[in-house]
Amino acid sequence: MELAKKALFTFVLIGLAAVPVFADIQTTPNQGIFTSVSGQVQVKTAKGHKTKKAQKDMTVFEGDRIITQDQSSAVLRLFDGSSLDISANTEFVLSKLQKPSPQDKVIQFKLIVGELLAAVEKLTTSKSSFEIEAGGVVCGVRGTRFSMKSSGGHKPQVDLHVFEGIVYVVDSKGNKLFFRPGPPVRFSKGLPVDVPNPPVPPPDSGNNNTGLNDLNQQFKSNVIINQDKTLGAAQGGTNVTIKPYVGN
Amino acid sequence: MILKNLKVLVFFMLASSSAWAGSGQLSVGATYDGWNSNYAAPAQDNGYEVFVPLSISFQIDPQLNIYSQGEFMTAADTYTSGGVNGTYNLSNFSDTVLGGELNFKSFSLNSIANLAINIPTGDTTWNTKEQSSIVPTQFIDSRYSGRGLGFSAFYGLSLPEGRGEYSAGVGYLYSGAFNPSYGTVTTTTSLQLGDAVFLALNRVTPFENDQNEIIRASVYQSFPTYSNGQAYYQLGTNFNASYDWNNPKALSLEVGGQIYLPSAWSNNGGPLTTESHNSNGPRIYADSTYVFGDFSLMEQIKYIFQNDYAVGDQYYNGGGFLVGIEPAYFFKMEGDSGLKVAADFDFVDANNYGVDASGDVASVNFIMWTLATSYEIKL
Repeated sequence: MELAKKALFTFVLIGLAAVPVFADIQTTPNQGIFTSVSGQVQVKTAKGHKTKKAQKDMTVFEGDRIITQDQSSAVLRLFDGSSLDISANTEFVLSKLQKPSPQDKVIQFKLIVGELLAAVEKLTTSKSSFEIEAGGVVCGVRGTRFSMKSSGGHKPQVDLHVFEGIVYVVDSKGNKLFFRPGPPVRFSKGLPVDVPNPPVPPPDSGNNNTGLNDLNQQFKSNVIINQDKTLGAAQGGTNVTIKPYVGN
Repeated sequence: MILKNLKVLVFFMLASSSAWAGSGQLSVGATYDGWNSNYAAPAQDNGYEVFVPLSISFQIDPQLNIYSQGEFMTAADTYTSGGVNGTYNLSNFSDTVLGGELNFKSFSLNSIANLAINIPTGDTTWNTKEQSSIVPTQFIDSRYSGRGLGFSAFYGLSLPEGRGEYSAGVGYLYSGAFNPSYGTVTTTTSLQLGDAVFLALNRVTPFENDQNEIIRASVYQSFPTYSNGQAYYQLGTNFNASYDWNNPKALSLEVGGQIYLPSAWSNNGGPLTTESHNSNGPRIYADSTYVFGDFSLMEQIKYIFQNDYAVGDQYYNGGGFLVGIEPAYFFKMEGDSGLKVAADFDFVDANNYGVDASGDVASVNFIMWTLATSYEIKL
């Protein structure tokens, strides 16, 4: 019994000791933390509208705006483990950093100008999303690496560069396009204008498995049709005048 | 009996949802359908059904989805046999299907596997009884399943090619024996509908705004059907092809056709022999759906050619046609839930399906109308 108590105490002690270490690695929900800052990087907070100079280990929140100056850069780690490499001369807003349930996460950025390189942790639920919006184009992923670059201004040119996995794009007409790794794709006025990397069919994740789901459905449908026919044949051997009815 | 079946149904549905950690969907509905024919009195072929379909599915993780579906049905089917009218009544659960779909990689290609079990919670006599009093199932599928224990398995994989993808799949149906009230509906006979192999190929090409084009080809090969352990009948090989243009926000169209090779019969317990003429005529169909926001309108036309037997032969089937229309409205509700309300009207002309007062074959018309609601709840 005494041994069990000691073991339990030791377990709790180790657990408590590990908490600060864990907290250092994993930011709390709804937050991001700078893991690297180089040069002039500013954070305009949503709360209080203050402008702060970004530093390593500084925490940012939903609604904050991040601005990098010339020859400056930063790396932001998000609460889910995803990271964002922020290039020089970039301005963007942390539009959504949300964790509506233990499984779901909703992360969204609005890129005003510059370039963001995203390395995204795999999204495990259908309600989760990771998206960057720029110039009327929304790019989203479900676990991959990609960069998005905006020329800024009222009608910016937006370049999407996919390095790993599949990125989906919703353009200004609402079309959803999927891109695999390849040369950058350019969008202007929210529409694709230079597409050296052609879009691909929707990726296969349950609901998007159109061809395979269609075959599966065909199988079920054919079973019903042909079993009905077989049963009809086995019962009467014919489908006509099996009853001495008088029709009109 | 009903209580026992209810317990079994609930058990399997709950079992299927034991891992409720992922996202899921519950769909429950209520459907009424009624039909009538132009048989002259005293002959009758009419009835109604009220059923409550229930299905539940859970996405355990992005790759695995488990599902369960069944229904409770109350029905009264009126028929005429030997000049005497009668009514079959049903108040029972259907069989329950419990299955799982797994998305995975095989040969480095996206693949799917679907395993399902047909749990015998239904009335095994009903599918045979209703044959004499419903709209012929070559036009409208039976809405009830009471087939006994069975299994099905499907495996498919897809190969990206250009803008679209090719998918190929193979399925197997193990059709367990059941004991319908067979033939005269007084004799209990063990009947095992033939097992089957299904091979299919399709080509899906996506277009903007979630539109896609699907071209399909498939083969369904049935194995012998056994009656009291004796091979009795084998449905001919079935070939299918269709073209589908799918636009979830506007007009969708599908056209297709089916042909059957001659079937095989056993004469007086002898070996199966391929029939001299083909008892299953080809069929073609077309349907379209137009979506106006939350409202949709579906039309359907199906034409079945007469088979190769001559009028008067016991295997003669004159074919016929079906035209149908179904308006539906989807009420969006809180969250991702929604209520769908639909009304369906079908007209069937079964060519030379009956005989007139002179004893000559005559067409029989059926009218069927359906009112259906279904409520989908995201879990």
